[in-house]
Amino acid sequence: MRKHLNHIALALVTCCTLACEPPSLENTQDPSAVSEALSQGQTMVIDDVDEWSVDTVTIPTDLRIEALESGLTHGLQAHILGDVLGDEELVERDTHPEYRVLESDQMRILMDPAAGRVHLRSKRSLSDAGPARDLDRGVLQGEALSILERLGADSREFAEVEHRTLKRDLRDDDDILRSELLAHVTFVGREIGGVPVVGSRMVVMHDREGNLMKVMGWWPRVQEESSRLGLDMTETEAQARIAEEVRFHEDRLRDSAGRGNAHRVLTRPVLMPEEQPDGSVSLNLQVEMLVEPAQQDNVEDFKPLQIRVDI
Amino acid sequence: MRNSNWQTTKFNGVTWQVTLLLVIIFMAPGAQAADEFAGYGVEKYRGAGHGECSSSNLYFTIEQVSNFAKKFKNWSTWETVEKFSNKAVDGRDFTDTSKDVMSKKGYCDCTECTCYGKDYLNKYGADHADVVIISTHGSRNSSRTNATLKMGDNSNKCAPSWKDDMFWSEDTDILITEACHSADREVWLNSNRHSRTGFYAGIEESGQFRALLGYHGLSKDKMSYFSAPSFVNNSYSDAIVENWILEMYDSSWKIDGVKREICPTAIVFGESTSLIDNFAENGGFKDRKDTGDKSRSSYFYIGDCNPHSAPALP
Repeated sequence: MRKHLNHIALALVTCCTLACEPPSLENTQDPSAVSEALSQGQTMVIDDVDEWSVDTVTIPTDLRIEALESGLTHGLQAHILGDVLGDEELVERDTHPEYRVLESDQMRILMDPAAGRVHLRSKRSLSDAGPARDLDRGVLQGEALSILERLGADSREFAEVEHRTLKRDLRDDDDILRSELLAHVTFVGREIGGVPVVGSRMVVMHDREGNLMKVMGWWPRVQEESSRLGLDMTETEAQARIAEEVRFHEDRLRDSAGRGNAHRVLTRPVLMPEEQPDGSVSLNLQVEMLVEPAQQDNVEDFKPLQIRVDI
Repeated sequence: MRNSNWQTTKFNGVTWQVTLLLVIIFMAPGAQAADEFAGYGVEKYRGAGHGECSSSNLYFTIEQVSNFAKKFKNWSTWETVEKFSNKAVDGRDFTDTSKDVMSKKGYCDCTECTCYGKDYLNKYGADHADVVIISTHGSRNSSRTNATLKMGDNSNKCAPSWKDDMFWSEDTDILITEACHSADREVWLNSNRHSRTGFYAGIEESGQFRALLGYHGLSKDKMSYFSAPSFVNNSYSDAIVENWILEMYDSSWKIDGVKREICPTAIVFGESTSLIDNFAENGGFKDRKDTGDKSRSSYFYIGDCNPHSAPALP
């Protein structure tokens, strides 16, 4: 296993040494593709509610699940994981109240195959890794996506792929501040037809030398027949429902003297999973809203509010 | 007779085996005390007229605490899973007696002084539980040397702070804060381990407290239906620090083309960097690795994370 991971690390460094064209690290999926997908929908204007300014929302009109087999369900098997990780030693060794646990000297895997949920962690230490190497982030990202595909996530559902780092600050014996890179992290969101699936996201982490350290997330299978991907009401009714929800929170947030603050309400359609007994999910179209303070200088007493409403 | 002797011998053997087993069980570290969880959520801040503290009302905090708690409830080793809401969340629950304002006599006799530190009390006091979560408002002061958490009941202090009120010295190993600025990097930078200021002011140096999980900048009032139970379940045995940061990080909203990031952070206290790292990577809710004296700390975060209302992280 170690040999396998070192091999990956070496490949990453080699590619970087060859000065590969650095790919775009963020918005790997063309953002216009998402806009295009949603432009096929209908744009609804929501009336402002008192001092709350509500953005328009575009609701998809012809949403379909194309990747019917997408889900980690089938990939979370010992022989597939062993193949993906190059680790033939995975056995059931430990217990967890809710997960099946596979373990080797190199890896520990918590998983719920039916639900498409996994937490895979190398037993290597992030902080014990050697000095940070100049890694090609595009290659790290490529390996992350490849692993997710091999575990069963369909690339047609990959949303924005984002590269970040995990860092640690400490003060040394002389109280000098030191910031250290611990890991590179690839976040992969899930979208269907440009609409985000709430809660379904994968995280892949490499240490600063490029060794695979972690694969974590939830990518359940979707039941198409029980999902509702379009409006459950007329456009007028949906507009009223959204406005009603905004007004409820606007009233709730008034102070004791009845005064409210100016807020901006951002909107987007989302697909809300509802877990089924067999571990799969059905999806329901909702509008998600983020209530933000309108003025930058008046935020000490306000926590941004995220709400959803069925439409 | 022989048979009887054999039975007696066998019985005695079994008795010894059972006794030995019981001794081993009770001496095992995991069996020293059953694990306790306490969760606090405040949604109503309607002010003195309602006997409540004043602030902007929240909506999802109580449900959010439940979403963290429900996994602990499934774990048989957790003896108690307590939840408190709104006016049941009081400043005295987060105040240590050592921070009470003393009388001129030099001790607190409850007639000449403010004597409300009750954080050790079972079951309302926060410091009686091994793992604590609070979902509420949080803030830091203008000099970035102190941070506070907002309570529900206004009978006592509404915003206990790390400097003046909190002192985690009884049982709490891990404090999870779903509150803005609750693990602010600037406050951490201004925390001095020698003079025990900032976050150090709220932690006993020889005590048991290990980690503060919170946020730099604004967090969000949201449901956490998926992220909270996932974080708790994945952190049953290990990886608690990275799981907190990776699970709670959110950059999915863009405002006028700019990402609105939520920046979860963690401060781990311990005697040495290696013990701190051991907790961060190998510590979990089941095995909350000891980190020795709390004479130093490390700050874990997402690089370049740029939240609302605080400077971007480096």
